[in-house]
Amino acid sequence: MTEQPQFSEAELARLADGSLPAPRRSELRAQVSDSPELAAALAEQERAVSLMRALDEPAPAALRARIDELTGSATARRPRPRRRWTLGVSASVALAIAIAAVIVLATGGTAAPTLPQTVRLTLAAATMPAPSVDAADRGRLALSNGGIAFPNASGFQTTGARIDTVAGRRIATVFYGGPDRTRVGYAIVSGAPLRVSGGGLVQWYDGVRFTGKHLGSTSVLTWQQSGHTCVLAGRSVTGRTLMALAEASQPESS
Amino acid sequence: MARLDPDSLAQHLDALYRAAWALCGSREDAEDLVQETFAQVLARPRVVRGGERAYLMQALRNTFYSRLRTASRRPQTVAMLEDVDPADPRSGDRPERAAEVGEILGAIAQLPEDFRLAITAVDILGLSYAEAAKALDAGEATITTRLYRARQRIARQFSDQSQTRGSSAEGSAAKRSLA
Repeated sequence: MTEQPQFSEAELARLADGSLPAPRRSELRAQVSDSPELAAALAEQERAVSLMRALDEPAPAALRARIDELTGSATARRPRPRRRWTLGVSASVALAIAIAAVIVLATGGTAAPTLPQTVRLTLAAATMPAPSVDAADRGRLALSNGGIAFPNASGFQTTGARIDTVAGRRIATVFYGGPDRTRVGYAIVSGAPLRVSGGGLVQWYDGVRFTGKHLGSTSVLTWQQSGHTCVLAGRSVTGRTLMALAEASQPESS
Repeated sequence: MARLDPDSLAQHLDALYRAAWALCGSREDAEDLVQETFAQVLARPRVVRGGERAYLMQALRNTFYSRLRTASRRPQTVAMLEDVDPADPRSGDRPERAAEVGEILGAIAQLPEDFRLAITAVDILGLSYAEAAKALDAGEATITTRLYRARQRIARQFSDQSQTRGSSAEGSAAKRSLA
């Protein structure tokens, strides 16, 4: 049988977000300091509140433009009321500080490279010249990671490369100039598959599971090949471009 | 009681977009939901009792339900990876942050509906408990309990996730968006 909690959930919820009136706040804080159970419950509430308050994803520019259009035409039909001042700027600054704190905590001490860390490498500058074409196989470059050779794909020009080690894993990245002057980074992360979370569009081609995502302003396509993780990413890049390069990377079926 | 000012609505856009994302679970569906909500709100003059943001939350929730009903009557389409447009260049250039935001809002979208609405109203839109109760047609005590449990689940999920990095996550082939 579950024990009834010795505290009010409502009060803990309010204590965590600062909406509990001051006199009761002090009383409850005193109780919390004497009770590990209360302290754990409050810590959970506070953690969730800090996660929520750190969210700062702005509405996309295209949506803002459409809403401006809607509000503009609505305003044109009505008498203009007085504008009110808001605390938007100071709130934004506070949010930015909160986000920075959460990110510092979230990115510290990870045991394996994360997908965002890998994506960052695909957007970074090259540190090596473009690899040459493999003389034995014109469809491949003379650079590989985990036994997977980078493709020499039709319509894509290699522009450079870099090799990094993140959390003990070797990550090789080749940069391609794609159609319409887009830049695509192709990273192969050796070792156990990276965790790919947060939804995305999943599709299977020839037994390979591809996941497409947008991470901020970056389009990302990822899949597993020979037990390693392949990540293609770029800004202003369409899914079609990423899929074309991914297809060129697949081993030829016998 | 005051007449709704169309000019002042834009200041709520970012928060409303995040709220819509938490309700729908995808960035693209959130855009559609917000646009439809604004279109309906602005279709005729409105009188608002209480805060504008609480009013918008109520409108967002009603539009969300209305879209769910309509969607259930439509044939489902499956998007192809090749058809995906480039990401919005103004969405930020920090992949870590974008991934974290997507994970958190995606996790909220997986909560039971009552919990999802409560945490969206209070913690994402920043409504007071009283405003949230009014916007969601529930008692303040009910909202507080739902909020408590929603926060508990989110905190535990992210605490668990930080300990189990490396396990794979599932996506949905039927999803149109790349949230």
